[in-house]
Formats: sequence, structure tokens, C-alpha cells
Amino acid sequence: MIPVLGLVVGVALGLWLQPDVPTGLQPYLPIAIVAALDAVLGGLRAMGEKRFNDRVFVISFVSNVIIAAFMVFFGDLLGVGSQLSTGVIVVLGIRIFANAAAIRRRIFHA
Amino acid sequence: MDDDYIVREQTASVGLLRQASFGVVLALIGTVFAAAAIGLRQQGSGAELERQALIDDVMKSQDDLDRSRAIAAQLRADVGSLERERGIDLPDTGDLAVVTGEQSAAGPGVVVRVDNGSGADGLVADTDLQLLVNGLWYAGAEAVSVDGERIGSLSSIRAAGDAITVNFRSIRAPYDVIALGDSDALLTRFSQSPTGQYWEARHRQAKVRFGMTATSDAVVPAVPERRLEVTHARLLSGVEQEGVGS
Repeated sequence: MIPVLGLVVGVALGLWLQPDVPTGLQPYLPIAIVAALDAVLGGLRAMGEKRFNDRVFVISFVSNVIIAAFMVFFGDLLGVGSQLSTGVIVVLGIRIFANAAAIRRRIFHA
Repeated sequence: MDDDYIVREQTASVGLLRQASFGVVLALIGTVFAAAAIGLRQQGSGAELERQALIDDVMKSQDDLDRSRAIAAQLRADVGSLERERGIDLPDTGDLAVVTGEQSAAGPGVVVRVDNGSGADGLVADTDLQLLVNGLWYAGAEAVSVDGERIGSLSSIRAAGDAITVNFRSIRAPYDVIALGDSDALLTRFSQSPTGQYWEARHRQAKVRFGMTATSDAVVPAVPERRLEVTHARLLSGVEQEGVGS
């Protein structure tokens, strides 16, 4: 119950407050979105395979976001921020595709 | 690929803290998605707004221009009719407009096509074109344009770097020189003039291509407006009165 409430409250907050992403955090927004998508699809897949675990979900999401943000931040310092954020997006994108493929196989057996 | 959930320590998720943290993370995800969606929407609409504003500006400027042009034409017509009404004996402004190059002109004439020949010597220089135009004036041309640039009283034919500029606009080989006048007279007088002989020599020595054909209907454009502006020279007052003739 609490998780569903949390999701609803989060979306409502985003729509209601319409937060302006600060310019300094602008490069992290796409990373955060892709990491969130990855977490959601991973969770859905685990749910389908009946081994979903909210603890794993929370920890993997938080750690992925932190690592991704750190890589982008570090890349910015090194002057290769865009390349590293591309790398992060590619890796997370591959995970999204893999998870989506697993879900698809489960549903359509194809 | 994804082995996140392979670790399966099936602890039932009962603790309030775990539920709460799960909820918080989901709230975070929802906020991020909502913020991104809103941000993207605003970005899109911003660019769209800007585009629309630019289009409106262009349309408005075009309308203004059309209106100004209509007013100018109307005023010109008014001036003409007032002059006729008052019986003012001005010199024929139509002829003047042709002579000064203020208006584009059409009529019989010759079309000269000039192109570079072989070698460094075969390049058509600015002096070649100056001689050509001078020769055409001598042969009786009444209006001359070089590659679409009308020669007016303030026009120059100069070399600027590799290119030749006429009226400060660069032109490129082959050069099309149009001269209005009596076609036959232009052809014969030009070929007999020193300029004609000069060009014949250029053709023989450096293979500079030179062709002159008569035409019954040639058009030369007007001199560009900034080559018609006069800021310092004024009409002598006596001449002015004589011109007004009242």
C-alpha cells in the first residue's frame, strides 16, 4: 500500500510543484530517468519471475543512480562528461532492452 | 544480463521502514518522470512559441514593406501628375532615368560574352573590362551592364583580390556585357575602334574568348540604389531655377 501511495504522491508532487531542474543538475536528469526506467523494468521482470524483492529494488535503484551520477560528475571534472553520460545511458539502455526481452519472452513465449 | 534479483533471500517485506523506503524510492521515480515530462513539454512549446513569433515578425515586416512600396508608387504617380498639371518643363525624366541608370532599361543592342583564355595571360583583368565598356560607350551604347551590374556615373570596375567587382559586387567569368544602342552601329564601330582591335589581339595571343552578338531585345537592370546616392554634391542654384523653368 505504502509503495503505491508513494508513487501516486511522487507523480502528483512532480505535476503540482513543476520543479525547475537547476542548471547544475541538468546533465543528471536523463541519467536519472534512464536509471529509473531500468529499475522499473527490472522490477517488473523480477515480479513476473516471482522473485521480486523490494529490498533489492530499492538498493539497486539507489546504487545505480549514485554510480551513474558519480560517473557523470567525474566525467565533467575530467572534461569527458558527455562521453561518460553516453556510456551510462548505453549500459542502462542495454539492461532495459534485456529486461524488456525477458518480459516479452515470458508473456509471448517468443 | 540482469542478475540483480538472483540473490534471493526471501525475507518477507513486513518492516515499516522497508515499506517506507520502497515508497520513497517510487515517489522519487514518479517525481523524476513527471518533472522530465513537464520539462520536455515546456521546452517543446518554448521553441514552438519562438518560431511562431519569428514567423509573425517576418509576416509583419513583409506587410510593412508592401505598404511602403504602395505608398511610394502612389507618391511617385502623384508627383508625375502634379508636374504635368503645373506644366513644369522638366527635362524628360524618362530619358534621364535611362541615362543615369536610375531605372532598368530595355531595347536593341549587343550582348558581349567574354571568358578567360589559357594561361595566366589569358585571365580577363579589370582593365580589360574597363576598356571594353569604354569601347562600347564610344561605339554609341546608351546603357551598359556588366554581368547584371548596370554601369552608372558612380560605378567602378575594379579588381579586388582574384575577383573583379562592379558596383562593389563580385562578378565571375564568363562575363556577359550588355549594351543598349543601335546594334549594327555598335558592332561596326566597336570592331573598328582601338578597343575592338585590342580585344582581337587578346583573342589571338591569349585565346581570350570574345563574342559579340546583336540582339533586338536586351534588358539592363537599374544601378543599385547605394550607387545613386549623393550626399555632398548639390545642384547649382541657377541651374536649378532654369530647370524648374517657372
